[in-house]
Amino acid sequence: MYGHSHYNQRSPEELLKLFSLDETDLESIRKLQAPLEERLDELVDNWYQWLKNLPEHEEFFTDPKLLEHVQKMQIKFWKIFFKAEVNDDFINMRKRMGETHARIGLPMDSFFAGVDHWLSLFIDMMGELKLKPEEYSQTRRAINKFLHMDMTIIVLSYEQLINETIAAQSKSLMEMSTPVTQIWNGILLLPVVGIIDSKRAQDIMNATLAKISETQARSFILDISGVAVVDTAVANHLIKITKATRLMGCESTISGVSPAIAQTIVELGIDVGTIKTTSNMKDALASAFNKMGLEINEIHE
Amino acid sequence: MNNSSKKTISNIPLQVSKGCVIASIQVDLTEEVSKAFRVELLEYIRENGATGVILDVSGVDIMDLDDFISLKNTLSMVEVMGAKPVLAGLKPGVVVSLIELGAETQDIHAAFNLDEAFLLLDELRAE
Repeated sequence: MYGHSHYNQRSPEELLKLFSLDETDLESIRKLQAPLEERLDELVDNWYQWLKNLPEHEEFFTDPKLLEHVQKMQIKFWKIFFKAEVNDDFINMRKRMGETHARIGLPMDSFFAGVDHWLSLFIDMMGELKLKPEEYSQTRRAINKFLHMDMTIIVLSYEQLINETIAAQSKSLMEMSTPVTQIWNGILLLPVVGIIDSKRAQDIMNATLAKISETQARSFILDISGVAVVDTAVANHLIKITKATRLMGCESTISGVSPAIAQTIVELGIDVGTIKTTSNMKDALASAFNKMGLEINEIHE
Repeated sequence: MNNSSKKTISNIPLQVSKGCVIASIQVDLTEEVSKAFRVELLEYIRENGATGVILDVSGVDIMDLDDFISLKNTLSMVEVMGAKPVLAGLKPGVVVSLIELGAETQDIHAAFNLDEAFLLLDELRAE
């Protein structure tokens, strides 16, 4: 559904072009590789000093083993960053990183704040390198562009994973939301709550027909008292469902038609045709029992 | 009671039970098959003076809208001949695709299986 954002499909070349990074930019980043290697441990310490003051530290970094792992990954991350080689491996590594962040539920604000702090550490480091003013500003701009590109890949894969999770959840919710139940021999009931879109209507139809063929039901009650909006599309879905059950030899009744729904249906000029409708479930049930030749009586002692 | 089954050109066997013609369709309903079947069925109804017809389509896995309309026309013709038509044993998958194709089902009497079809036929004949 949301699965693949097209941004993540960009090739390394397209990404570089998008952020107008050229070989000069990459070269000036690579120049920082050697000075960075010398100072990396110091920078990492510095960064963790900063992190300690944040609440995220408590949440994500209390386990010393985990902390060690994260530090290792960070060092690897920045080493690869200053190598400034944009290829598929680079993109895949960044994607994985975004996915990991999404899995542990790292908030984006702390992620960006962290990256920004790293950036300020690098800029301090560049200050110490005594670069010429033009070179300094050129390198700074290059790092900015490259970092933004890097973040884009990470954030997009973060977003993608979260969207996939949402899609999977809504799918399982959809499946849970069509509980066709046999309430009596030959009588099926499905209370619908929420909205009916074409996907759900399809699910309802499939679930109902499967249940009819399983139970050989002759009556099906579709209760729509929990459906918020009935418009032309929804009404057409309902009509389709009743037509389908009829072909299986099972009569559908739509119950729970509220005055508001009745009004909309007529005002929209929807032809309900031969569909049986009742205002409450009691009537629908009574007519279903009647059809089955059953009667409910009080027991007199 | 005449229970002898009749072999036909369309390869759809017809038999009579309790004054009712039962046609069990186990083949794909191509246009030629449909046409041949229609003629044979109507002829058979006249021969046997049947008052009801059950089309058992439980063996049909695929049916497009044209097949369905042709089947529906056959049912209407049966009705004009004075017999009550019932469609029995449509599979869920077939039903879903027919509805998606926009099939009109208003005047069709359908039943889940043969037993149900007989019950429905009794109701219809009592009317």
